[in-house]
Amino acid sequence: MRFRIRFAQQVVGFFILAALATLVVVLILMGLNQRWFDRGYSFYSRFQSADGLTPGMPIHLRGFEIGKVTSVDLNSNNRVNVVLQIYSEYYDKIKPNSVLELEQGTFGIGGGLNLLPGKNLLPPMEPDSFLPSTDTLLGKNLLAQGLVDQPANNDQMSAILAEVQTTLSGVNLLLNNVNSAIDGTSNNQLTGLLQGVNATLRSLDSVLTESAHGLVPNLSAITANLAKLSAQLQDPKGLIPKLLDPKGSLATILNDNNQLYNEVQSILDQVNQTLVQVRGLTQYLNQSTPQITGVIEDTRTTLKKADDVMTGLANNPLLKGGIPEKKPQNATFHDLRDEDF
Amino acid sequence: MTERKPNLFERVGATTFDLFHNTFYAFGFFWNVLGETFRFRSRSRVSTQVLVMQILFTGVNALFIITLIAVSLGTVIIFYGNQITTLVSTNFVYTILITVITRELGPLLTAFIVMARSGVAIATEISSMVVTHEIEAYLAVGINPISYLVVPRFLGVTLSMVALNLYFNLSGLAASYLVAQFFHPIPANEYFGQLMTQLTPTAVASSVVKSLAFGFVISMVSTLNGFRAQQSTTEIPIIVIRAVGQGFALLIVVNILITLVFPR
Repeated sequence: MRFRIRFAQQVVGFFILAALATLVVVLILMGLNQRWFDRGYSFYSRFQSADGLTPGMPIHLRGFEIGKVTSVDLNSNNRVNVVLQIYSEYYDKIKPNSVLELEQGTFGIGGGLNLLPGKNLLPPMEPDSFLPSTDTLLGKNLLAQGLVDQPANNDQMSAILAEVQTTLSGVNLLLNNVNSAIDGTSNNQLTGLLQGVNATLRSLDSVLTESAHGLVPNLSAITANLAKLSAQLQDPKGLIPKLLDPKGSLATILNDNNQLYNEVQSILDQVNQTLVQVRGLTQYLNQSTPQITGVIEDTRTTLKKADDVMTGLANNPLLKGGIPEKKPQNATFHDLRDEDF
Repeated sequence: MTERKPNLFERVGATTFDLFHNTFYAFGFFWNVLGETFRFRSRSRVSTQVLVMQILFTGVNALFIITLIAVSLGTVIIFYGNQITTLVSTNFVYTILITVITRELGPLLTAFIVMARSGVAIATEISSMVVTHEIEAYLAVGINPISYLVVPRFLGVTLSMVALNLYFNLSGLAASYLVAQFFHPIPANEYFGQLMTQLTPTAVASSVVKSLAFGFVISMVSTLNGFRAQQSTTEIPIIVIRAVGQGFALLIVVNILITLVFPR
């Protein structure tokens, strides 16, 4: 018989008792950790709004949980009364001038109240006394007077802001380096780079200067020629007045009582008559095209019949060999398409 | 002469009548079981032996699979929870662990496992006994099948559910601690101290009440469906499937109701 079956009662007894023992141990540990048996010391405070405040939320001092919010109520003046329970272990931390501030958790999770203890060595406040919050005038005054021990913020936003501050410092340092490099007062890589750029620009300047020395005489010669041409055009005895002179060659040619014009006109008339004749010929050819086509077709039919007759004669045994061979003569017309490639 | 086909009204009426009849029958069955449960102590030792065996099969034998699931769940939660909590709050991982393992998934997953193992076994066993006329034999010799068959199973499944749920919590939370040592070592007193600080009496009560209710649901659904068998062995698989379907559906509904009843 298997062990479990044989000792079923013992196994089941252990199974159930161990579970119950676990439950009891968990409850005892919960009680100890949550201070179920510690009555603590009660205080009360006041806030402007209950946003972020819930009964049971922890009260922290430098990250340690020192108590809990017992209740949150709206009073007759529309202010929020908050009753706190401070654990006995931390009662001596509640010094006079202590202030409570609401600690907002990230994404609304993990919030609580922070106790900012008073800066003094006085004995702790009496139980059930008023602990001002940062929402109250008294709390703000205590903070303004520096009577409250405020630790440096160490939340996520502070960490992000610290990172931003570090980044900005880095950017500032970079800008200083760039500035000193531009001034030439530093001896880093950027300065070397800028000096190199400067040297390159100087070299370019000298190259351009040398090139300009060669180009300038040519440009001067072109400019001089243009000036000379312009002067000739403006000369009253130059080319233009000679062309426009009524006694000049051009005027003499043109002033011939329209003889030149008439000759040109007669040539154009003859050309016109020739073109009219060509057009008439073209029209005649267009009209005669069917007849020409018929003649060509008849000629082709006749040639085919003649070819048949010649074939018959060639095949006639009586006449076979009677026709003398002719030496073929190549055509004089030569077309590029007939070329062998 | 052919039988007339019932019209729509007749079918709806018959279905409603069946529904009411089954519901009242089920309540009568539960009432009978509860009454016999209070008289359980005065019954013979045979019933006690059945109870012991039921706890052995339902609780002890399921411990391994329950532990395995709890360990995997705890591992997943601590792995992803740590990534989330670096953005939100260092203590938020404990809230996640307690909410998921203790309040919600611990009892529900345990109940699913028990339903799939023991619920099926009980429904099969009782329906087989009905088909083979064993129940009639018990009645013939004066043994009440409710007190002899149902009550030990009801008590056994319910007690096993509570115990398994506790072991599930213990395994899941301990596994989270062990896994955390690989990538984010936490001292044991810090980890368990924070857990005990974040664990509220409401969460513990919710977990225990859920496991009690789930045990009740599983045992009742399984035995009630088992007794619905008539005369053929072919009915047994149908009854078992129906028991499992009803069981899972009721477990989810009861889980939602209890979650709504217990405040955060």
